[in-house]
Amino acid sequence: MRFPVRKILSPIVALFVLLGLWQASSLIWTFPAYFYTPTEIGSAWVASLDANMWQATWDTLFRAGVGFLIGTILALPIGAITARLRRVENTVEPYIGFFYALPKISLLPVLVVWLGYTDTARITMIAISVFFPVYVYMNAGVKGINPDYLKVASNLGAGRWTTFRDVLVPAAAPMAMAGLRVGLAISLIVTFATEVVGQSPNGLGRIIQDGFIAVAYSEMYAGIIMFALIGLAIDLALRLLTRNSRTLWGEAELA
Amino acid sequence: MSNIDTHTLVTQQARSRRAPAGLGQNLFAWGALLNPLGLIAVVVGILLWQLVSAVSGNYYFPTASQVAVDLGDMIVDGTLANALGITLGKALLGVLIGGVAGLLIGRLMVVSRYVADGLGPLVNAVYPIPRLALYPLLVVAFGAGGEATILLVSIEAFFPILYSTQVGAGSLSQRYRWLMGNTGASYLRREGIAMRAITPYLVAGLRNAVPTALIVVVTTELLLGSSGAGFLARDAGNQFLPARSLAVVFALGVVGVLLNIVMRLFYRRTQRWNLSLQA
Repeated sequence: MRFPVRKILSPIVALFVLLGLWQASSLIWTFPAYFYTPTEIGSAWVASLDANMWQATWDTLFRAGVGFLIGTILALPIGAITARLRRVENTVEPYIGFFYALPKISLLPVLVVWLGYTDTARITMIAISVFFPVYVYMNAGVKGINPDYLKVASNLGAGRWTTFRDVLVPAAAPMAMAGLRVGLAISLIVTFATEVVGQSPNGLGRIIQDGFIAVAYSEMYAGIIMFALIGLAIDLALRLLTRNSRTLWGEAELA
Repeated sequence: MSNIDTHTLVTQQARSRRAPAGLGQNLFAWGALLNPLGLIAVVVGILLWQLVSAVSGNYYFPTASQVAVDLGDMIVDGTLANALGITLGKALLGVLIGGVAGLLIGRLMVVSRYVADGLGPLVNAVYPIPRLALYPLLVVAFGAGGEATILLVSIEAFFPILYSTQVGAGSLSQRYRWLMGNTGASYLRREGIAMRAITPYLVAGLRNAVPTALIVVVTTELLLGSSGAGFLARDAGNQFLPARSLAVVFALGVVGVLLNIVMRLFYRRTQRWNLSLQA
């Protein structure tokens, strides 16, 4: 196989051209104070890397992670159950449909009235936001299982548990992983929203918001870059994980 | 956001061809309303809510009827319609701007291999970044009016439309390309046919972009500003009027469901324009 030089070089060249134009245009025009050049953004980020910043990153990751876990742990089994039991699905369908379509972040003011400006309110909000997309993917994944697999399992005398463990879970895994990817991306975004709207005392959202209030642009840029890096890192990690899971379960294409 | 279906299904489709476009948005079509078990569940749920909150007598846990009364008040005095109009206006304008940009750049990436090789990986790399975090910066640049929100929605809508344009342009089967070449079709005619091939995919992208836009707008209104549905929910919360806040949430849910239904109809209606070989 020929080494795809152009495929690799092109984006790098494009990146340098775009950033270079951005940087160079600052020599020609004077940008407003809030508009940083790439080098200024880079140095603002590097300068921000102190214990405070790492603590804020950790706080944000913690919230996103706990919310994601709670939402996922509820969504995966419920999505699988409703896919298998028609009556249960019919019962919950109106609720799921309504909350799926609802911009769930609008629940935050009510959650804050109930739970106060606490991490409980924030994490609940994140878990709710993660639940619905993961549910929908898991449900579709289990529903999309080739019925022949289930018949074969039944013919071979597989019990409920064996069918679940050896057929349902591996066959639905690719779709579930896709759902987890969506859920993880959502958890990060909602975490930012809850940190700012929910007046969090810490976290990256706080750093960006503080920078906004204090007109400290370097802080804002540093927080935004940190958020971006987390998003990129999570996406990359999940991509590698998903790639593994496909070979692990031996199911490349969903029926 | 996803959404916030951030990882849009069109991308999924483009990358793996597995997830059907509009997955999950088929939920709560008329079927869900007409299903008797679901109907019973809704009635029982509302009655239970009414009963529990009436017995508890907790002001912060309003009854369903209180929420309904507050909803009625907001409908009658026009607050709700006004707020929803502002919210939807920002969402749709943002989708329009981002959509046009996504369509143009997506088309350019299909036409030119250099643009595709250069920009494609960059777009993919930027995609997983949580763009909502840009909002405070955009407010600094464009003020706390609607402009920052509209721009953020445009950025958010750009991606699904760009991806669906690429997939859609690829769906135009080779036969049509040969046919156009052989008959000496003019540039405009060829672009028109390409547009027709792209349209069904574009609508699939819109089905992801529109709900996401609504989420982004509501979130920014919760953060800042003094108008729109998000503001209404925040304001009611700040005044410790949970019933009013819940009424706004309910109204937003109804708007979300209606948008899904409209997008679904729109999607169905345009699928027959598909010019891929299967169609």
